[in-house]
Amino acid sequence: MAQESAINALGQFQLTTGFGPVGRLVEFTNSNEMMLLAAAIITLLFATALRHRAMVPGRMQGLAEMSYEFVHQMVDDTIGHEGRRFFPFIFTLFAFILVGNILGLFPYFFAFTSHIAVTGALALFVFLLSTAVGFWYHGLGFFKFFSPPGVPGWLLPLLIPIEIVSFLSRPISLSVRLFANITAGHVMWEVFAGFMIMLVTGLGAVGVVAAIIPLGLNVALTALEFLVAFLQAYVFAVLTCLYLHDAIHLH
Amino acid sequence: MRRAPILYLSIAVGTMPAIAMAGSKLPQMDFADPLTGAQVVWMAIIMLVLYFLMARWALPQIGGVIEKRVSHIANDLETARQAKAKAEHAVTELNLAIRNARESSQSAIADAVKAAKERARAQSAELNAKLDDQIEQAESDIKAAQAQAVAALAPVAREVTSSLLMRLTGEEVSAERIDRTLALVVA
Repeated sequence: MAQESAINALGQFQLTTGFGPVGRLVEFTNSNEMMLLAAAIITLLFATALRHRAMVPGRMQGLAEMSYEFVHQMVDDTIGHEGRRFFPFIFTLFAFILVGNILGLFPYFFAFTSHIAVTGALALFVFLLSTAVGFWYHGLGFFKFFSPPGVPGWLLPLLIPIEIVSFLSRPISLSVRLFANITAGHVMWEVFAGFMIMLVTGLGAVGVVAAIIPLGLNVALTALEFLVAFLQAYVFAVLTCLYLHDAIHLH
Repeated sequence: MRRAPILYLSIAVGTMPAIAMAGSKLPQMDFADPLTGAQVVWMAIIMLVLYFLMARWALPQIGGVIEKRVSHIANDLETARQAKAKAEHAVTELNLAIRNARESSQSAIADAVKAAKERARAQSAELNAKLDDQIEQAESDIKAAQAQAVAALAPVAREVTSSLLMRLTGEEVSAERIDRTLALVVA
C-alpha cells in the first residue's frame, strides 16, 4: 500500500544526529538534544527562581519551590529521614523525566523517554544504586531481604526464589513501564492522525467529515498524554524511593 | 496500583495498531544502531552535570529560601504572640487602675457630700438662731410701739371726749372723771 510508507507511526522514534557535523562526529543524537534542552529548562527555572529569592514567591519561584517541596515530601514520606541524602538524585531523576516527557509531547520534538535504552539505563542505575545502598547499610545482612520475616520455614524454598525473581525484575518493569507508556501515546497520536489522512484521501468529502472522529480522539489523547507525562515521571520517582526504602529498611 | 488498568489499556491499544501498521521493528529496539548506545552515554554526561547543578547549587539554595521564609513566619508569629500577651497584660492593668480610681473617687465623693451636708446644717442652724433673735427683737419692738401708741391715744381720747360732751351737754366735765371712765373702757 502506498500510504503505509507515508504514514510510518514509528518514524518519530528514529534516532538521528544533532548539532550538524560536530554532533555527527561525536554521535550526539536528536534525543540528546532534547535531554540538553530539558536540563537547560530545569536549570533556567532555578536560575529564575533564585534571582529574586522573594519572601512572597513569584510565578517561577513558586513553581521551583513547589517542585522542590513535592519531591522533598515524596522522599521524606517514602524513604524516611535517611532519604535526605538521596533527595538531589530523586529530584534530578523526576525533573529530567518529567520535562523530557512533556517536551516529547510537542510536535517535531523528540521524546527521549520513549527509548528503552534510555529508560533501561535509568532503571538499571536505580537498581544498582538501591542494591549498593542495601549492601552499604546492611552488609551481607541485605540477603535477609529475600526471606520476609514471619514466614514458616518450609515455605522459604518456594518464597526465596520468588523474592529474588521479583527483585531482579524491578529494573525491567521500571524501564518498560515508562518506555511503553510514552511510546504507546505517541504511536496512538500518529496512528489517529494517519487515519485522518487515509479517510480524506480514500473517501474525499465524506472522509473530511469522518476525520473529525480521529481528530477528536487525538484532542482527548493530548489531555491524557499530559497526565501520563506527569504520572510516569511520578511513578518512576516513587518506585525509586520505594526501592531505596527497601534497601535501607529491609521491608 | 489504581493506575494499572489505564496503563495496560493504553499500552495494549497503543502498541497494537503500531505493530499492525509498521509491521516491522521499533527503532528503539534497533540495538545495532550505534546511536542507540551513544545517546545513553551522552545522557549520562548531561544527567551528571544536571545532578551536580541541582545537588550543589539549585536545591540547597531553594531549600534555604524556603527555610528562611518558614523561620521568618515563625518569628513573626512569635513576635505577634508576645505583643498580644503584652497587650492583654496592659488591658488587665488598665482595668485594675480604672476599678481603683472608681473606688477612690466614690469615697471622695461620699466624703465631700458628707462635709457639704454638715456645713449646710451648721449654716442653717446659725441662720435659724439669728432669725429667732431678730423675730424676738421685732416682737418686743412691736410691743413697745403698741404701748407707746396706746399711751399716745389717751390725751387724744380725753380731748375728743371732753369736746363731744361739751357739744352734747354744754357743760365742762373734769379731766379726772373722763380719764377714769376712759380707763374703764380701754381696759
